[in-house]
Amino acid sequence: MEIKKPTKTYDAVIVGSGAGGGMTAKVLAEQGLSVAIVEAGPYFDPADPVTKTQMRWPYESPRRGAGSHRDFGDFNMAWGGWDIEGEPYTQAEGTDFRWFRSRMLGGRTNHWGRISLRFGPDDFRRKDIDGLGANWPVSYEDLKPYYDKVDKLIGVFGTNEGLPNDPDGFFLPPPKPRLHEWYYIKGARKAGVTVIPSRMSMLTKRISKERGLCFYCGQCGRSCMVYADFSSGSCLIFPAQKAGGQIDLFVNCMARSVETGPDGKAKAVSYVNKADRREYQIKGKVIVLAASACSTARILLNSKEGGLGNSSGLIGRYLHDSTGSSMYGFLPDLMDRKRYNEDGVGGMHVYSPWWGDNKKLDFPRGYHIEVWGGQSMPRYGHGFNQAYVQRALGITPGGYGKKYKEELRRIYGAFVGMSGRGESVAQYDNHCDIDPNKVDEWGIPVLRFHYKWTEHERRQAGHMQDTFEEVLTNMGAKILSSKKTAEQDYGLNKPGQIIHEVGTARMGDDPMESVTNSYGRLHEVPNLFITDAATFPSQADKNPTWTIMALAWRTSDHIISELKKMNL
Amino acid sequence: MDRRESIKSLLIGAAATSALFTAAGCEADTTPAGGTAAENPFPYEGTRLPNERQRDARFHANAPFFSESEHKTLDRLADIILPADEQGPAASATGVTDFIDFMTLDFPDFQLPLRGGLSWLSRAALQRFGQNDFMVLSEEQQLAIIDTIAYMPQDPVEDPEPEVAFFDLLRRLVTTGYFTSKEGLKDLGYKGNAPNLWDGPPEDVLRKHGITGEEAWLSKCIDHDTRNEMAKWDENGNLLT
Repeated sequence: MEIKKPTKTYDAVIVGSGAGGGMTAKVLAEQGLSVAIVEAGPYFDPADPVTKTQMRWPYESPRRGAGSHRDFGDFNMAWGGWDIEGEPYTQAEGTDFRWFRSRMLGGRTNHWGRISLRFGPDDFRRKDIDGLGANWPVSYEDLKPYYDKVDKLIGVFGTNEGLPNDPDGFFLPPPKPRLHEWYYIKGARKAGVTVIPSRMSMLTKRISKERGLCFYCGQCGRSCMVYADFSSGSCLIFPAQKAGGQIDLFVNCMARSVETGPDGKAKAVSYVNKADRREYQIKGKVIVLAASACSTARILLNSKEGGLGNSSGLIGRYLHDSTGSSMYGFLPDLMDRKRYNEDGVGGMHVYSPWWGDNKKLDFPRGYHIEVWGGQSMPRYGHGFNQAYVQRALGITPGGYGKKYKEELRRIYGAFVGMSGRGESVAQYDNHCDIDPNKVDEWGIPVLRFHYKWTEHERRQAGHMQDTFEEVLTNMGAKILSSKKTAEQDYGLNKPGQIIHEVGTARMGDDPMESVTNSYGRLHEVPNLFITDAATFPSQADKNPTWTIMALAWRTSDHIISELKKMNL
Repeated sequence: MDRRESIKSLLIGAAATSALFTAAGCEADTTPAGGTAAENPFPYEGTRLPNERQRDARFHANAPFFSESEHKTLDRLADIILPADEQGPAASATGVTDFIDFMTLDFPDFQLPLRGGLSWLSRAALQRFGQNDFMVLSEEQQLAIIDTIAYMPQDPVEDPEPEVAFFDLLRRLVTTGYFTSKEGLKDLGYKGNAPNLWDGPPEDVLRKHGITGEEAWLSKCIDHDTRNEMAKWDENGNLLT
């Protein structure tokens, strides 16, 4: 096997190829910089017919798409998951943090939900509002031009609604609601819950000649072969390469640490090439970490005793994921449905941004609601909940024969579910550090997690359960997943399960209270930058990807400008 | 631009991927063939990572988990659960027992309850009808036994008897196996996994469900006739095209 060896010094070495790394590589390469990307997984192109899972049928998989080996099922396009053979992590006592990694070019952007939300003005100054956590060193106004550019470059559908903390943007028109979503709209309105068209990054309309348009298969989680949804490879890295950008990909290369010189500047990235299991170094004038919040923290903590750039002691601290809690039900009104293709885009066509006023509530931060259901493609698990439906309909649960078969046909497409995705409050004690007693199969010391939800998150999840019950009841649904109680933490997901982990190297103006400045530049290492969500001081009740890309673009502009000024 | 653009090319399947970039643009004027995507010439195995492929190969090498006689009984039980009717074939004709066999290797936790349940059937057959083979009983006798294990407790919190739990697990696996098979998908009437231009529920469906007066919402949604026009906005984010 030919091993690609680094020979030259790159203008920039970027660790990670997801939303942050892809955007950084694109912007820097377009400005003529030579860029190397170090990616822990193999090359991946959603258009490759060999690896493509899009448009496959459940019966092509011997397990009919069950998630027994690959998380989210056989067809999901994330090569990795919460547990990766040979790449473990550990837990402090009492912690059950779940760390999702996707080892492939493009990382988790290949399978994510494409929910593409800007943070709002309040999301950058939460401490001013409720006294908790930290403000950001940037405001919405600072980031707005970058959000605008991301909208136009990547493409996102949605509508301008003039909401105070869910800013307008440059949207493509959204798809029409599905039938169960119309029921949701009615149920939400009646409960006083705001409901608007989704904001997601699939192309309902043309924005470039290079990318195909959505053909409504509902399978964005499998990554789109015509590049109609956003992934870092299809929308950032490949176009930059096609445009002549010098981007060398070092795939299957697992970054270990950042090497520094006697001047304290970053010089190189050390990595293990998984093909020959040997250690290499790749030199860069600028080093950018975009390995995902926890991997970036791990690299910094493994770079130097006590961590590189860690005088504040905050690397790994303030780790926080979105909260999650769900409820689902059955809509008798949707029984005996007319059959038609309602796959739509991959995910919901309508959603609820946070509508509440936390000053009047017993928890400080909000959440948004995602809706699911309808006549989706059957896969492993189809029909598993029939006994619950039967009980809800007053039929003796169980049975067999023609009557049972007919029941299954009649209830197809009559399910509807709601999931809350909320903002947790970043806590100093919630963190990852290096487990002194364990390495992965590449010999790299692994992360150990310490994480506990607080009453803030539990109360918020309780509010979710109350809201879901009210909306589902308004819709005429019979609730099948029993309402979760305080003893059950209101169904609050484990930390890490929502895969929005952020905060492990937060940005700020005070070097003792933060790891980087507002450009993601380490206070202590002037040519070392972070362009993943490690720098987020707070989470917002929005998915992080759009903000990762806006910040990465802003940081990349800053790198160019500093290089021109000879400041790096 | 014709809204039916690109659909045929998308149906050709993965081999045409390079063509898709133009196809998803604006050339072919073809008719969608909803729900009947061509066979994919690239095997599923190609989508597996090396460790996934090894795992599946190990299962296939160990298959079958069930003996021939157990398979026959499972086929029979599958058909009791989902028999042939006017709309679809019997479950056994759609490969559900092979699927269940694979799942016992994939989820070893299924092995004990399924094996134990099959043995329980033999004992029940002997006790009630003097024959230790469920398969030699008459249909009436078989159903008399199944009737004793076919219903779950009304209270979902209550644990069912092991033989009831066995039949419940089997019922789930047969149901999933059937409705994820080619024939079962057709029976169910699933119309998706086919390129299309989603334009909301059909008019008659909207009427039936009383979805009216939503013009304000609908006016913001995509008009597919304009989807190929390059998006342009004014400085305030109002779409101009």
